Amino acid sequence: MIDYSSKKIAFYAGLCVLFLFLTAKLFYLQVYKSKRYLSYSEKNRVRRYVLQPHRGLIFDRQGKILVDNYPAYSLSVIPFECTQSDSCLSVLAGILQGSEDSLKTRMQSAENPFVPIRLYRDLDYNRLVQIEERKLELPGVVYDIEPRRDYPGMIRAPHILGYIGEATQTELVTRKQEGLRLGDLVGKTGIEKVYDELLRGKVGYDFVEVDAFGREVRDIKVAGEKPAQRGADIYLSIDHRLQRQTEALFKNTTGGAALVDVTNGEVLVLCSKPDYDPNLFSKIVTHEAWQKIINNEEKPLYDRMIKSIYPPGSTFKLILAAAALETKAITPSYSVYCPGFYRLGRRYFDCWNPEGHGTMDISSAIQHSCNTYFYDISLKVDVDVWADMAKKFGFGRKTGIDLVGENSGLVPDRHYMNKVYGENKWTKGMLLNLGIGQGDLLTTPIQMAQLAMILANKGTWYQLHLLHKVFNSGNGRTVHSQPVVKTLSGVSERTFDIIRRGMYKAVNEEGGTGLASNCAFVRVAGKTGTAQNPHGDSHAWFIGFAPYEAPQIAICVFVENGGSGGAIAAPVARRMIKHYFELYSDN
Amino acid sequence: MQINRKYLARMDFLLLFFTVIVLILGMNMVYSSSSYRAEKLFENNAHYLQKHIVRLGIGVVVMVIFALVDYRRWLILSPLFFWFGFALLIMLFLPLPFVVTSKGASRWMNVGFMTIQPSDFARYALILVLARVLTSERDKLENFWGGFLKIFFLVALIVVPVAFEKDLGTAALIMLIAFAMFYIAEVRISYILAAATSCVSAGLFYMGMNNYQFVRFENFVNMLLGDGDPGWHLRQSLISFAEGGFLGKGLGYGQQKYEFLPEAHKDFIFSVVGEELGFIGTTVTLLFFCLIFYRGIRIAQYAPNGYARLLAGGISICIGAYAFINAAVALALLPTTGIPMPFMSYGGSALVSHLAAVGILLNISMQGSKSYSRQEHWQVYNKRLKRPVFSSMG
Repeated sequence: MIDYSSKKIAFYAGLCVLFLFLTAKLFYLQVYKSKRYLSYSEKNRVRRYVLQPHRGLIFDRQGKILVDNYPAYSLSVIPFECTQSDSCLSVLAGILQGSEDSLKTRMQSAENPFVPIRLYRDLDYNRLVQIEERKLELPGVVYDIEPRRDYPGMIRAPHILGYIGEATQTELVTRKQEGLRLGDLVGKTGIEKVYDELLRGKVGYDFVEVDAFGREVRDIKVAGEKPAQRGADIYLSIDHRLQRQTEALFKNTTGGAALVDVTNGEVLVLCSKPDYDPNLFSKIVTHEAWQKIINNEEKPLYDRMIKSIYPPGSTFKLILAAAALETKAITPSYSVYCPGFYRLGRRYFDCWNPEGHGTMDISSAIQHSCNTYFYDISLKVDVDVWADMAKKFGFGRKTGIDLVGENSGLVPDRHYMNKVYGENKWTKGMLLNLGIGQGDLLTTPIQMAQLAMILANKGTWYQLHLLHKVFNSGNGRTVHSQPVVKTLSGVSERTFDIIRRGMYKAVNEEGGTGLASNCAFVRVAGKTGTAQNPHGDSHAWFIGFAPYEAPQIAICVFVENGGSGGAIAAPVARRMIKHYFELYSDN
Repeated sequence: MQINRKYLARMDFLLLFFTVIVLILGMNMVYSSSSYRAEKLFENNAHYLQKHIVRLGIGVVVMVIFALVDYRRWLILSPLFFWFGFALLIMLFLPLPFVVTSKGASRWMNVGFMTIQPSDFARYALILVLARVLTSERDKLENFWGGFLKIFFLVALIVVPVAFEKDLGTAALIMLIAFAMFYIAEVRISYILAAATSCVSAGLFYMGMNNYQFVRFENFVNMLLGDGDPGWHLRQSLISFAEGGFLGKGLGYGQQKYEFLPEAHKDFIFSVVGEELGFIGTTVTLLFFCLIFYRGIRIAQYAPNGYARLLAGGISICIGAYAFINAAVALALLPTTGIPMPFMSYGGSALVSHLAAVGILLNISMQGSKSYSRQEHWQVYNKRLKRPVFSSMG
């Protein structure tokens, strides 16, 4: 049998030693040095405030402020502290005129009950006072100042500027790496969305010590504390003076206009009408206001310049001219006699002028916008060659302008025609229509502005953009946007010269369709368009550039159901061009 | 063995009493420490308590069974238990559907209503086998190569898989129990020291290979030396004790379990005790564990034979070591290990296995009389226990 008595003593001795060992440490922690550890523990009751960064401002190229911030109060609540109290929920529901249950579910859905969740934005003064008055009944309720967007009204341009709103659940998931948190404001459309990451800035943190009742004791300095980082300011290429003028010109009109700097692709004017007041979305949008705007038949939310697609009408004759000249289907001296109609088999296709234009060569055909001439040459050019030429000039794809939701438009080619109308079921008549910019062809106004720019530059092409420069207040650095250059190949300078000559004559010579855009002090070249459409009156188009010899700007004016391009769009273009040169000409 | 009044009267009621006290305290602490988490995760603040009570019920039934069945039956079955435990440990390395992997370690098995940790079973299987072989092969213990090392090999069979599951804490603890049993069985101290030295070197070597364990160990040493952050877990645990102060905040009034203390209802339940019951309550809790250990050692003292003595000693050491290591970890006196507080931590296979062990202690206490050898079945048992565990040991 094992001798146990000595071992028993060893075990008991070990037991006593270890027990004393633990008790000593317990005594040390709980009685002797408890203060020291409690000072650690105070960190537990430190409340972390998220400091919202100032969203960057938006300026025009002149430095005029387009989008400003103003401070608004928003109300947050710490779910843990609020649900612990008997009064908090009911009092809060009373002040916010909401139901207690919905508040409760909102708090229960919080991921971490110690982190404040935002309940109410843009708190009015009346409620603010009520909350402050009953603060003792509202533990865990905090409000903070949060910047909201303000539009000083320099210009409207809501489609460019866009608006901001609370990040949706999808945005929270897909843009997680950007550090988006529930309740954050993000850009929803326009520049606010495209440059959201630049504008938003970075949140900061402030640590404040609170007692058991959630009352602030003192501000403390912790390593993780950092100020909010202000978002970068964005300077748009928009000129507020020109934009304002254009907006005024389009008052009570449906349509839009773009004015582009052809030397770098900067967009100075981009106007789509009807529009809405951008201040509408910076406040709490009432249900009625929202219903009113989305039920408006003129669709003010819709940016016609980049999202709507229309037949381009006669402006597209320029593409046909380029295709015909480049494929040597016609020589520059090729002439057609216009009796006021074009006969194809037994069908007659009318020229817009029933009296006829007489003998037309290419440049005078552009000048007079003679349909007969272009009917004639459209049969000399293969539809695919024509479509390729259109695509070379940027049609059928997005311009890449820095806005959201751009439409590509549509350039029909043989494959498309076969698919839609059936193999060989489509007629030559359809080709005639395409040649003068009618039929299935669809373009956005911004693509037409791009066309004008390419013609102005004789094939050099800058990606259209609205961003002029970015100013980062954090490091004081300004970054200018760099123009992206592309060159159009396969169109000779001679072809450009012939087409540009026609455009010049259209504005400056007797009988030209664009005479109404003639300016006294600058030589404008342009092309009008009157696009028929089955839904109503024709759309009025004008594209052009100026000065003719050394272009600085390209322009596109579009009036939905406006009527004749020469009568409606060209005068608008003239006033815009005039204003531009008044502002920018050296003398 | 026939259960009658005479036997029941000899049972160590104090052991039972202390155990029940700790179990009841544990139930309270599990509820207190888990209710917030349970409400958050399951919208039922008693979620963990309910599950704990079910497992506690299973544990108590198992304890009663073990108290009523002669411990020698388990000793006879011990090789079977041992190999079964070994097989369970090996299974953890296989990609089986019921093996649960958490935080990079596969230590658990899902058996439907709860997850079990095979090392809990294997540990007591090893104690049973050691109690048997150290007694039946007593005359060979002097022989280092032929006797001691063969028995030590049994220990290694359990410890090595446990260590390779990255559960170094449990591996060290099992080793400690084995050495204590060698000590009781009067293995030469030099042999034990030799084995212990090689084990520690092997352990350090293994830690060196697994960088994270080495870093953890390094951090702990730095902390003991006074510099270095104990890390979030340990700091929160220390804060809990400090928050408790001398008298404690009162049952249920602790705040550290809200978010701050990790695994408050599991491995760090002792910290919640520290916060809610204070220095007084925590010391008394420790005292109860001391008393349980004391009763266990006392049962070993009055055990009817060598088998029972070793078994009771091993079980007592096991429970005592568990309690000590858990408390020492919570107090930042030992590096963090995944060892729960016996009888108190949120239930699982550890709770059931410890209760089974208490059942064995109670059974031994009932037979604690010199008259055991006159029992009619004793001779039969004795013969069967002498049978070799390994055929090579015959």
